[in-house]
Amino acid sequence: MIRLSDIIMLSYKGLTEKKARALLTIIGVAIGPLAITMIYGVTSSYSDYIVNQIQGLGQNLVIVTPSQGYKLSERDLDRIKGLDHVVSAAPFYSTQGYLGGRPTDTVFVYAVDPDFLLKAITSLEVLEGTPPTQADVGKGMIGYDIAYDDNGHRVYSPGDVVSVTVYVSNSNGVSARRLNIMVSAVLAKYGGALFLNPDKSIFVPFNSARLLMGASDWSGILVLVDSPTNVDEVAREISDLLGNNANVISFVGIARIASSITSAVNFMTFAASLSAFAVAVAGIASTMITSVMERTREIGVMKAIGFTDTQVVVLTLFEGILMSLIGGAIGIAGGVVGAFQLASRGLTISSGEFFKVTIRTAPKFTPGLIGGVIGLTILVGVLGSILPAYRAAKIPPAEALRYE
Amino acid sequence: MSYIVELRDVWKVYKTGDIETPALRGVDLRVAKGEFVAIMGPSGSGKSTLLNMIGLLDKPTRGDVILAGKDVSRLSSREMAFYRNYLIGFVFQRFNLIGRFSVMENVELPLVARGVPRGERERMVLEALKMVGGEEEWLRKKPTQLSGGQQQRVAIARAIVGKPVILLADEPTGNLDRASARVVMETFKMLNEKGLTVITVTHDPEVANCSHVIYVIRDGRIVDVKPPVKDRCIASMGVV
Repeated sequence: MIRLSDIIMLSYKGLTEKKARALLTIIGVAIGPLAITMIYGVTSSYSDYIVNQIQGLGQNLVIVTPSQGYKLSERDLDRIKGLDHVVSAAPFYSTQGYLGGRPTDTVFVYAVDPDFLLKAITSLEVLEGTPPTQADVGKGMIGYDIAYDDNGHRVYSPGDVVSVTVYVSNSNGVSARRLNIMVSAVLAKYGGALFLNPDKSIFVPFNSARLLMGASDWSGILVLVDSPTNVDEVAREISDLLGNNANVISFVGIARIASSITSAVNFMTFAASLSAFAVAVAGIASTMITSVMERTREIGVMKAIGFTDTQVVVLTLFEGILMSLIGGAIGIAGGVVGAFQLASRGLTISSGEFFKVTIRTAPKFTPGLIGGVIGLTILVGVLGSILPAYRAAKIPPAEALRYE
Repeated sequence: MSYIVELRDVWKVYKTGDIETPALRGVDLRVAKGEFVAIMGPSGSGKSTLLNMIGLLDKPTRGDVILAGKDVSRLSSREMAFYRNYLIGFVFQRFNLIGRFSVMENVELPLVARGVPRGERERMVLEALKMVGGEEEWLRKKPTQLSGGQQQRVAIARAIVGKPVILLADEPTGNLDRASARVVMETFKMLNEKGLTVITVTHDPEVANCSHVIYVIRDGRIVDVKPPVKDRCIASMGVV
């Protein structure tokens, strides 16, 4: 029984005989693993990031926003509160503004019942101070990145006043309004900036929207459901209730959509990479068939000195597998480098001017991904060399020794 | 008397379409253990085919090939490989060393097929190489860095490294100058004196004369058996 170390040595020696040809084949093999590793690494990390962010915002939460031209009312709110599985519901108003006189220092202002908000988004934590009550008009909770500058130095503490200019939309159009909000609490660092960026937000009691900003229309209604498993049902009932007058979204639903989009992208990547793998199989087959033909006499000698047909098959197969494994390793390494390069550019998600977020996250390489790519690579080697190996095994030794 | 090689009415017929070309026509041959046999004949007479039958590189169309008392004419290819590895050593006219391998790697090949551990292989390779007059410093060299005579000695070392009982040589001096041919035949004689059965195919009478008996083959039949002219053996003649 031939030893594994000898199989590796003989196969490696086989590759070194025609270095340029082997190198070109290896490069051909590397393309598939490179594409899969790079794209899967990046898309899975984005997918995880998006799903985690969305789920972190509250798996029990449903958001109802009015369609263009419709105004949500107290009646809508009462009807929603009356639905099964709805724990509570609260209207909210949101807008964008900037701190002090610096229009580049963008912040988001949300007017919502603070008590409801902290219950609905459990990942929001108060770092210092006390959240305002609904009656505390003029007070607010500020995000960590407002309370602290980029170097971590404190800018605002509880009791300080934050001056913010907000854009308010009403029946007369959009107007800018300057607000002075007393900081009652500072929120802990939240991280992430998808859909909601608490670190750059100011949360004020809902009444502030009308009393301080003069806003009369609600931006939407937040609905807290008793369990994530009932979110879909509640969302469907609200849709039935309000018809085309409102858009109903749940973070769980968005997470599911994000996940399925990523799965679709991954599937398309996989399908495209299969073409690269098919080309690699052809490349290895061509190289190995040529190699077997060139080595016909040598195969005859090996058989004459006692190598069995099976050993010849194993050696030929292993040479192909070794070639594809080297290609796979190069491809995976290149894919990792490429994924970091791609990820460093970030993924920008935008929706008009109001919403623009760039996700920067390290690519994710799971053992499953790397194992799968290696498995596919080995399969390429086997498929590419099986026919040449069979041909090599079937060469009659006496004939092979006469081969010129 | 028991024979190490026995061929009984061996026929080999090659078929190309409907055309049949007999290469061997009922050959009977018996070689005793420790004998040195030369097979001579013109080109196309069936010498190499006969050697292929003995060396289990080919199967007879008819007849029996018996090696070391076992009928090997109808073995599976796996069993034939096993017998080739353990019983037989081959030496070819063109050395047939593998160019990308070092001398060490070439000589150890039969042991690799057998699964012998590396340490033991190194010892056996060195022993075989020394037996054929090779030098340890050749081990790391590539075959092309050696002369023709040295390469043939490496090929002989490869043939004997697995301690076979039969050494088969197909025109072993055909690619060598007289001096190298003489060294090779001296090596064969020495190995034969140590008990190895040697069967060589040759055109060269001075090579054939180094054997104990010469079989002459023509048109696939053994037509003559004659004793060698001992003083015309290349191994006992001075270098010209």
